[in-house]
Amino acid sequence: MIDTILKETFGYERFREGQREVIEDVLKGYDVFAMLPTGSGKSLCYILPGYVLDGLVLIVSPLLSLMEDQVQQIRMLGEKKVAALNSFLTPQEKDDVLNSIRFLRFLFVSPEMLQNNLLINRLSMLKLSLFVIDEAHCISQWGHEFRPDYLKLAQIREAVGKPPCLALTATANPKVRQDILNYLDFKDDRQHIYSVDRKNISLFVDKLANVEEKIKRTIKIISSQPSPGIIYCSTRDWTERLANQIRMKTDLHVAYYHGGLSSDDRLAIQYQFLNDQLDIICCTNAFGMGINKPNVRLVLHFHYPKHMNAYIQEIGRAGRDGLPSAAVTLYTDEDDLLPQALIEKEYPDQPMLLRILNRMEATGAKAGTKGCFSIMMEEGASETAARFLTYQLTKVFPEEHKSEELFSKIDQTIKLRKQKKISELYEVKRWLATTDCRREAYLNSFQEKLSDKVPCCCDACGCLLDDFVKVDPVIKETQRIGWQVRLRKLLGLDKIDHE
Amino acid sequence: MSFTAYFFLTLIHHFKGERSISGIYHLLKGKKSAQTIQDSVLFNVQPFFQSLEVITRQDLNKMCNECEQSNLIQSVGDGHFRLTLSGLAYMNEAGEHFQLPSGLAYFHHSSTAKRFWKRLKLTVQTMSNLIRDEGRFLPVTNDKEPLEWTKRFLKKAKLDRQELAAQLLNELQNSLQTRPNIEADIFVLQLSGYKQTGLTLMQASELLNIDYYEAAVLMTSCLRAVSQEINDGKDNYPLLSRFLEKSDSKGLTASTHKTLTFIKKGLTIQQIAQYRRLKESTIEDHLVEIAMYMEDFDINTFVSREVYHRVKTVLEQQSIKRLKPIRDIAGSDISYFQIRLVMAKESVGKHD
Repeated sequence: MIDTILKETFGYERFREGQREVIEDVLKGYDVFAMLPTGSGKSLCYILPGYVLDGLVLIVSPLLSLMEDQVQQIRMLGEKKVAALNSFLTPQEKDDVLNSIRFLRFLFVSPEMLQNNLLINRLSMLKLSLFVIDEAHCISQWGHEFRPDYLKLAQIREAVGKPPCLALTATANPKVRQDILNYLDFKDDRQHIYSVDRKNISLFVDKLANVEEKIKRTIKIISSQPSPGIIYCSTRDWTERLANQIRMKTDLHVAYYHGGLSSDDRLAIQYQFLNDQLDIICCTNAFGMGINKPNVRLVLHFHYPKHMNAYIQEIGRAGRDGLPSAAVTLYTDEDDLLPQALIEKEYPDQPMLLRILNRMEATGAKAGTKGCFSIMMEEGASETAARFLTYQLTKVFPEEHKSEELFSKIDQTIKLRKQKKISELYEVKRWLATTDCRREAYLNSFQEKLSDKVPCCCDACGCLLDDFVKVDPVIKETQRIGWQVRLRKLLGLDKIDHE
Repeated sequence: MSFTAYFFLTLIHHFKGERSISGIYHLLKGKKSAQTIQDSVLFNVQPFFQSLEVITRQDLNKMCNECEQSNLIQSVGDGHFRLTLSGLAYMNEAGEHFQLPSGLAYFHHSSTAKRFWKRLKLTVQTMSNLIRDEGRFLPVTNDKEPLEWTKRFLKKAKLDRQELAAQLLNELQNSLQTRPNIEADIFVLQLSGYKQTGLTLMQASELLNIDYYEAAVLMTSCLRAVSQEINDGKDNYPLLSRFLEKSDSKGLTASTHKTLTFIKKGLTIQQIAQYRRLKESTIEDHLVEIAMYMEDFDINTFVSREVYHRVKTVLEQQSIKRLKPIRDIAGSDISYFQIRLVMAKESVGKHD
């Protein structure tokens, strides 16, 4: 039966690796933990059951931008009974969703929204067919992007009638996996673990003397490599600078993408890329979440990512069609400065922490209030740091009122967090510096062993970037034709020439 | 010499050092504050209102610094600037190469034009797909209003898809024909359709090889002028005229909207202020905003015809730029609130 649905609703002939196994267990009503590599079609594992099971599929999804894409993806299937609840919505829009909740097939919610009693109340009156935790590694203290709001999920699941649960992630080492199972209170569960390895992506790392050399090398690579390609930069400013350089020095169609663009512009660039109107997109890590483009041939890191998990996620956007693709990381010694500085900024330093706690005591400002938040900002905390601190004060140590005690406890937490992030950063640096097989090394960081050797593995195994033959680009040109002709093409009287 | 510099100097010239760079910034962005709206009337710069929404403070300051360093403008303190003599000469000379796009004059269509564009982008994309039997595509915007509107529009349309597309094409061609080619090019390049995504304004300016801000001003001009053209000849544009229709009192802030519902129920300013626990002056600000954005809003309750006429006469004497002198001349029986209401009305009602 699921094969018929796959064909009729989704238009696919066959399942990809892992999908059938996961879906069958979900339909049998088991609690399922599934680790499927990026780009393997994880979302199908809960969308398809939505058409078999009776009731609402609730999906807890941690990233707002991802949520929008997920909703859009389901709408593309012709499904109207889908909605998202998150803090981006106006109160009116939230009400609209809450009032239509019983007509929905799929509902996406952010973890914060699940703290909302009204929502829980509404949900408990409905029949939930499936409780999905997306990006489940966020549950674990040991996972990346740890989200404390996730810790109450087992409780919430209980409150909404304990429907079967599906926890999905792309990357989780054994320690993280155990954490997830514990926190979700899984018993009699089924686990499906697939390797994070993407065999059709060849890995390359190149160390350069300085940033000018790096730009030159980037331009050389994209001029001789198959496109389309994604170039990841660590700042908005760099995406723009690099795109301009590329535009000046090549004939390639290039655009930049970052969170500072208007939402309509972001959509336009994203669709242009999906639609093969761009060769290269220079972007921050805001780009790519939920983007399903099969023919990306190259992912180039102009700045290296903060941890191996991000690396795997980002290179995983290449070669989803299974064809050979390349992941290139370029770095210089200067690149080490920025990520460390960013990590420092995420937390208050000791004197700042002391000043904040003292002022809170003196003024009687309560943690979690606006006034308290502005005290933190006034004392020089970044927004991330202030949010971190508010969370510690209100959720982790709400009972502790003595300043000295609080100080030492929070300071300890900060030390541990920083240590963890820095050690993750060092893991990336070690990986960059390795002279052994890069694939083996990255699998090791997920406590995996390399099962079988792939033919074009990595630079350390003797694979050459030049082996990737430049093919004719598939890019559709936006030509300088008059507006009258363009308009006629859009609205149908003229044929579209790139078909 | 760039268009943007010319544009900027023209504004400095109009403000004659009486408003700061911030005032210029808010004007270009189209800030819906009583102050900005007032200024646009006082200094006779309504065409510039919301004419360059994409400008950043950073860029405006940069432009200002450059002009100051080239001795085209001089500071008169506290973020206020005036043209120097060479600045004036420079502006006049530039005026021979550049001109303000004519469509800006239809500033009273400013918010209509934006609504029109969002709906149009989506409808063109939808039609372009539908006539090729493609029902699945990613909409070019996630904004709710245009999405809902387009759905309703298509549902209500009496023509079949092909006829509807042909009619839409026809009306678009006719209305764009009234504009310079460069404006029409910028407009059409941003439209998306079947398997083809439109360019962003930035990309369109690059393709056409013009400055980004110039492209933005031209786009504003085009949208306002096309709105005017359609509005003037509704019979020629049976489809496009529907794109201009209001979806009730859009553009007002939520709080102002609340005030409006109370006014419609017949409550006085004092009663509303008391009920909502707001200052009366806040309610007055709301009313000025309403008068600005709702062409059909009747201010007779607050301003008699006679008073309206008196204030209007004074306003037409261009030299007066402040509320107090206006009141001094028009008569001390008139309140500042009444003057502001008249100005708000005048800024919408004035057609060229």
